[in-house]
Amino acid sequence: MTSLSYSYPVVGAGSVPGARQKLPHTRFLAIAGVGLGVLVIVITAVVVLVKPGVQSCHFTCGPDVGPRLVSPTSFTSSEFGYKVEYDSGYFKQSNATKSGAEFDLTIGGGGILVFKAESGSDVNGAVDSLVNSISSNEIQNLQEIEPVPGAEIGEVEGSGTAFSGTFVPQGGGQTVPVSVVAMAASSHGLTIGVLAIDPQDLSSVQTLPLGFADGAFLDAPITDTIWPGQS
Amino acid sequence: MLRIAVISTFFPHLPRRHAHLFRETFTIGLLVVVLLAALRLYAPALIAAAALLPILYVLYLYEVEVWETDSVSVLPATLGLGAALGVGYSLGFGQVVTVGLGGPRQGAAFSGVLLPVVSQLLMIVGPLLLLGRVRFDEALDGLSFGITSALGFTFASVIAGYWHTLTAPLFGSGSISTEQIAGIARAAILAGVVNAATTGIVTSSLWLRRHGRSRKRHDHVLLRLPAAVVIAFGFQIALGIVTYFVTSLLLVVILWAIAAAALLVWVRITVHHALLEEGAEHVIGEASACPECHLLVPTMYFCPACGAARSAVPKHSRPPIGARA
Repeated sequence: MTSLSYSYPVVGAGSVPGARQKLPHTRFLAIAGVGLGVLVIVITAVVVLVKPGVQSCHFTCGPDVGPRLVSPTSFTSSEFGYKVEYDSGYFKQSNATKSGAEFDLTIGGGGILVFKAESGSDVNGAVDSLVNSISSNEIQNLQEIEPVPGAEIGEVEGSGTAFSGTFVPQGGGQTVPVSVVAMAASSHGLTIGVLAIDPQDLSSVQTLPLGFADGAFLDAPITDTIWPGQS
Repeated sequence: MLRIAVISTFFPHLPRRHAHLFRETFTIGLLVVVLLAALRLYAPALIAAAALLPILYVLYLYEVEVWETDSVSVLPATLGLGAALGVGYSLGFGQVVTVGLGGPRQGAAFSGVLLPVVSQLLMIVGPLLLLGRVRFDEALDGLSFGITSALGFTFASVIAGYWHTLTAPLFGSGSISTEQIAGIARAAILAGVVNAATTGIVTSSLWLRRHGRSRKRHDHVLLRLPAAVVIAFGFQIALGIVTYFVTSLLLVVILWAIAAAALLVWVRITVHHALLEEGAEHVIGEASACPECHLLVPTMYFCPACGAARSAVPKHSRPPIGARA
């Protein structure tokens, strides 16, 4: 039986305007891949070359004159006997235990200091313990910046690591880039660890070491920590 | 029409038989992003994610010659100006916004409403410069201008806005979590899709209205310019508020993905009705080959064999049709 329906004639692809594929399959993939690769490499190279030089700076190379404690209050560990002096005008103490406490900065960007202590002299273990205590929900995308050169707690030399991360407020609010330092020092069988978290400001490496927007304020209680037996 | 598809929505001039190439490249690009993240290369992963859609779009513009010989003047006004405004937006508001561990001091109204509104307005600036050009008088012209501008803006604002993260050591200290990969997807890819969709909805509606090609035969209040503006800005503000208040990154990504999917469908509805509006006039021209089905058919606004819109074909390869040809 013959069909009465009409069918349009087919035109060869080469004769159809606009139907020709300008880039063959492999060339298209190659151009896309090379384009993406070049962009990634160039931008990565630029950010690596111009990244802020936070490596060579410690808290103490911050402002020429740091805030001095006018009428210091202090926290004393009932278990280990060390003392942290702080200015109640700048810090609010919370979550105190026998071995440590948290100090929330009430001015500036609202940084946090957490002091923890334990027996022994495992400084690296204390630093790892502090890093592991960071909530991965609250501080996300934690990226190591560098070891903290000349890390000291109360004039006792220790070691520490600086990180860059993103703070995700659990009570609501937009994420904030933060600098994080975990450091520890050991003396006479006691190891004190400090975790510092602060909004990140990389605008001036000289005045804001490691990107800590409130580095000068956070530095004071760490520097003024008094070890057992010290005066 | 009601499909969630990035390539066929944002690349309407692309013949169906070429689309698979773009889908393959897009999929490979996504896999590369995941691979870079798995290798703890956070910065390259973020850059690749941000660059993927813009690179595909530039290849699309070259492949189908959407703007023909005018690309030299159109690209700077759309992609270039969008990128420049994106950098300015990130750097400018980076100076204005003061942050604390409790979030930006400016609050939800600033972060959730003002910032998205400003960014959406900036993405429309480039296309507006081309609104008066008589050579670009179709809704699909407006759509492509809007998408190009939005992709340039998103790429540049992501790179500038995440500069502090990119300057971290190349290799991260630990493996990148699923949440972080999802975060990259939201910041770069989903944001690109959302911005391209909202800007494309506004510009295609604007072009349809401005150039008077609408014949009011497929008109609907939800498809007019005021509705397009409400939908575009509404989605941007809603996502800004969601991002501000929802603290789980994973949930934020899911909500962005849902919004991106809804917007893709809305773009398709908008374009579909715009093409019907522009092609509502019944004209029949000489026989010519349809670039979509390759059949020799009478030249009409829609192919009588496969239904493909002739407006979706680059202008230089279109046969004369109707009074406007």
